[in-house]
Amino acid sequence: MVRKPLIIVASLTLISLIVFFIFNLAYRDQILVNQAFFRMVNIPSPSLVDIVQKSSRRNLSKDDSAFLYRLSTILIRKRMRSEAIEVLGRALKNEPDNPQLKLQLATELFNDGRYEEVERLFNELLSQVR
Amino acid sequence: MTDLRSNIFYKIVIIVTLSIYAAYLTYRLLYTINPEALIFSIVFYFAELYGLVALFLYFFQMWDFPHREVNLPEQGLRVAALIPTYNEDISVIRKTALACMNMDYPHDTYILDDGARPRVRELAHEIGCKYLERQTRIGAKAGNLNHAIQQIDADFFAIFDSDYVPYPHFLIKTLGFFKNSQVAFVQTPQHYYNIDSFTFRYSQKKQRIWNEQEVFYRLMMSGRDYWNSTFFVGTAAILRKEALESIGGVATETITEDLHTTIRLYKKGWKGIYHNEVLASGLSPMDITTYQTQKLRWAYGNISVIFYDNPILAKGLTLPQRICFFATCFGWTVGFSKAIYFISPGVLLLTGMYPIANFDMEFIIIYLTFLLTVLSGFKIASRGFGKVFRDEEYNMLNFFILMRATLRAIFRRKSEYKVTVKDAALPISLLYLIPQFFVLLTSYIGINWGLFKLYFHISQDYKGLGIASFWAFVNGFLAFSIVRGVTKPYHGRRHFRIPESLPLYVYQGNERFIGWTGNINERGVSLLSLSPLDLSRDVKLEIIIGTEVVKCEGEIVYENIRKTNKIYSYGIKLRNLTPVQENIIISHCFNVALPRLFRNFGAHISYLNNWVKMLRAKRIIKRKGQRYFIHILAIVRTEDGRERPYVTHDLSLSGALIITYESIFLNSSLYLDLILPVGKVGMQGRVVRTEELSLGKQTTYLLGIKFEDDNDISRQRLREFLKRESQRGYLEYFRVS
Repeated sequence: MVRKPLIIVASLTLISLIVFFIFNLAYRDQILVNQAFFRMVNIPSPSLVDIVQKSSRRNLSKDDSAFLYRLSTILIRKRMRSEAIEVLGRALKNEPDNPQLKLQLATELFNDGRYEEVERLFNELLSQVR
Repeated sequence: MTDLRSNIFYKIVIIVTLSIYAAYLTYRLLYTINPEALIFSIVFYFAELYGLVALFLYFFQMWDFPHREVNLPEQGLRVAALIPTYNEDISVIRKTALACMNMDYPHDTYILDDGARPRVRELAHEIGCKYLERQTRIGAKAGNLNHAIQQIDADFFAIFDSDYVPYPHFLIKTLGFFKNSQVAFVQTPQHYYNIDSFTFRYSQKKQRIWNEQEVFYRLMMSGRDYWNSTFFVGTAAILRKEALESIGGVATETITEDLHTTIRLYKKGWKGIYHNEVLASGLSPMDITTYQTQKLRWAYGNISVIFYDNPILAKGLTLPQRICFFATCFGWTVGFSKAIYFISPGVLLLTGMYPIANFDMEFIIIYLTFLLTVLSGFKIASRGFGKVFRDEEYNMLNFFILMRATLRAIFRRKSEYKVTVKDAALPISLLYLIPQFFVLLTSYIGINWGLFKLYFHISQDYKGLGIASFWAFVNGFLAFSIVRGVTKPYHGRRHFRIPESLPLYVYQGNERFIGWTGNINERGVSLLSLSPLDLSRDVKLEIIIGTEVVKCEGEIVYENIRKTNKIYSYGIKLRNLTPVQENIIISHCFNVALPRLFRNFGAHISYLNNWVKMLRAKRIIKRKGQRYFIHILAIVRTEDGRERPYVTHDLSLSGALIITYESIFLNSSLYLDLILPVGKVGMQGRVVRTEELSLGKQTTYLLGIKFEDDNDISRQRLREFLKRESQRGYLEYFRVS
C-alpha cells in the first residue's frame, strides 16, 4: 500500500529534476547574470561578451527587460560601457516606457559624453512623470 | 418521482448569469485580446465563447419543467416488452426477462436474439417468455427492433436493453400517458445500479450517490419535456406502434437510432413524454475501455444526426425543439473547448505567452466576479444535481474521445455499432488515459517551469505565473483524480451485489447463529456475524427477505475479520437455489432494496440552494440528535409476544429506525434486543413514527422507535458502542473486495 505513493513521489521528483536540468540549459545565461547581479558572482569578460552577442541574436520577450537591465549593470561594473549602452538600447526597444532603463541609459550616455541623447531621454522621463 | 419546480427566481438567476457571461465576453473582446500572442488569444476567446453558447443551451433545457399527473392506463391495451440482445451474458438477460415478466399490466415479453443463440432460446423457454431471432444482423439494434415490430401484433412496445431491469409498475406508470392520441413515446430516466462502477461517486458518511448521467436524466430531460423535445434513449421507454409505422420504423441510418427516430417522430407532429421517475435500472460501464467505446458511439451518433436529419433546418419542428436538438448535437463537441482550457496554463507557463492582454488587478477582479456568478448560477439552476468538480472530472475523462468523435462525424468516417459489454469488467487499458496523463504531465512540468522562473528571477510576474500555476494545479488535480478513479482495481466479483441488510440464520453443523447481510444477489451474499464460522465446512442459510424465507446452502469463499470490533465478514456463494428462490432474491433486490438505496442516497439539495431557500423563508427542519447510519441486528418483540429479527436503518441514543415488512401500530410498545459485539443490549421502546414505502411489489415500513428504557447500563453500553463505531461505519455498504 505504501509502494504506490512512493512510486508517485519518486516519479514526480524525477520529472522535476529533468525539468530543472532542461530549465538550466534553456536559461543558462539569465541564471548566470542573476547570480552575478544578486550575489556578486564574478563572470569573466569574454563570457559576458558572449552573453551580449547571444542576447542580440534572439527574440526578446517581456521578461527579458529585467535580464538586460541586470546585464547592463554588470557590464557597467566591469567598465564595459559601450556594451552596456548597446544592451540598454535593445532593452528600451523591447520595453520603451520603462523609466529605470531610460535612467540607466541616460546615465551611461552622459558618462560617454553623448549629451544630446541624454537630453532627449531625460525629457521623455520628465514627460512620463508629469 | 422527482418533482422539479421552476419559478421566477430560477429564471432570474439564469438571465443574470447569462447576462454577466455575455458582458464579460464583450469586455474580453474589446480590451483583452493579446496582439503579442494573437492566435493563442483568439483560440482561448473562442473556447470561452463556446462556454457561453453551451451554458445558454444548458439553461434553455431547464427553463421550466412540466408537471405531469400519472394516470392509470385503460384496460385491454396490447403491450409487448422487447429485450433486444446480441451477445450479452445469459445471466444478465435472465434478470431483465424475469423482471419484464413481473411487470404489472398484462403484456407479452419477447427476447429478440440477434445472435440466434440456443442458450437464449432455452432461457426464454425456461422463464416462459417468447423468443424471436433474425438470420441477418442488418441495422444492428434498430434492425432487430424493426423486425420484431413487424412480426408482433401489439399496440405498444416497451423496450429494455438486455441489462435494464424494469420495476413491476413500469407499465402502469407509463401507459396512462397514451390516452393522448398524439403521444408517440414515454421515456423514463436511464438509471444505473452498479454503484461500484467508476462512473459513480459515493459517500457513505454523507449518504450521497452521484452518477455522471444524473444531471441529464433527472433535470435536463424533464426540462426538454417542457419544450416537447425529450427523446427516446433506446431503453426504459415505451413506444406506440402506430407512431413508429408512420415514420417507417426505427431509424437505421445512424448508430444512435433512438435520437434519430425521435426527430422523425417530432417532424411528423407526434409528441413525446418524459416521466421523471426511475422505473428501470441497468448496468453502467465497469471499465474505461467499455466506457470510451460507449461514449464514442453516443457522441459520434448524436453529432452525425446533423448530416442525416439536420434538426436546425428540419421542417415540422418548433423553434424550441430545434434549439434543444441542436443542443444535443452541440453538447458532444465540447471536447475541443475543454482541451483548450486544459492545455492553456501549461502553454502559458512554458512559453510565457499570455492569452489575455492587460492581465492586471482590474481584470482579475472582473474575472473572479464573472466566475463566481457563473458557478453560483449553475449550482442554483441545477437544483443540487450539478456538481462542478465532478462534472469537470468527467469532462477531463471525456474530452479527447469527444474530439475524436467530432472529427469522425465531420469527416464522415463510418463507425460501426459496437455492443457495450455489460457483464464483466475488461482489463484496464492505460492507452485510453494517454490524454489525461498528457494533461497531468504538462500541468506538472508547467508548474515546475513557472516556479523555477520565479525562484531564479527570470520573471517578475508573480501574479500571472502564480495564477497560471494554480490553474495548472487544478487541471492536474482533475486529471489525477479521474485517472485514480478509473484505475482503481475492480472487485473480483463479476455480478454486482446490491447493498442490503437482511437478517438471516446460519447453520453450521449443530450450531445456529444469527447474522445479517452486507450485500446480496442471486449468486451470493456478504454475511456479517458476531460469531466465527468454520471455513472448512459449508453452511445452510435461512435468509429472511420480507415475508419470505429463502433456505439454501452456501459455500464460504472468503473471510474478512475486523479485529477491532469482532465482526466476522464472509463471502458466501449460494448454491442449489430454485428458480423461485432466485426470483425472490432478484425481485427484492431490484424492487425494494435498490429503490430504497437511491431514495436514501439520492441527490441532496446543495448548501447554496439551502441558503437560497432560507432567504425565501422556507423552513429547513433539522433532525434532533445525532443519528448514525449503522445497521445492527435487532430482535424485536411486539406486544402480542411475537419475535422477529430486523436490521436497523439508523441508530442513536434516543431511538432507532427499523425497516420492516409488516405494519406495527403507532404508539405500540415493543422490546428490542440489539445484537452488538459486546453482547445484547435490551431497550424498551415505543413506535413514534411509521412510514409506508410502496417500493415495487412489496410494501416496506420505516418504523421510528423511541427508547424509553431507564436502564443506565444498557444506555451506557449503547453510548460506548456508538462512540466507537460511528466513525468507522458498522456496515460497509460499498465494499469492493
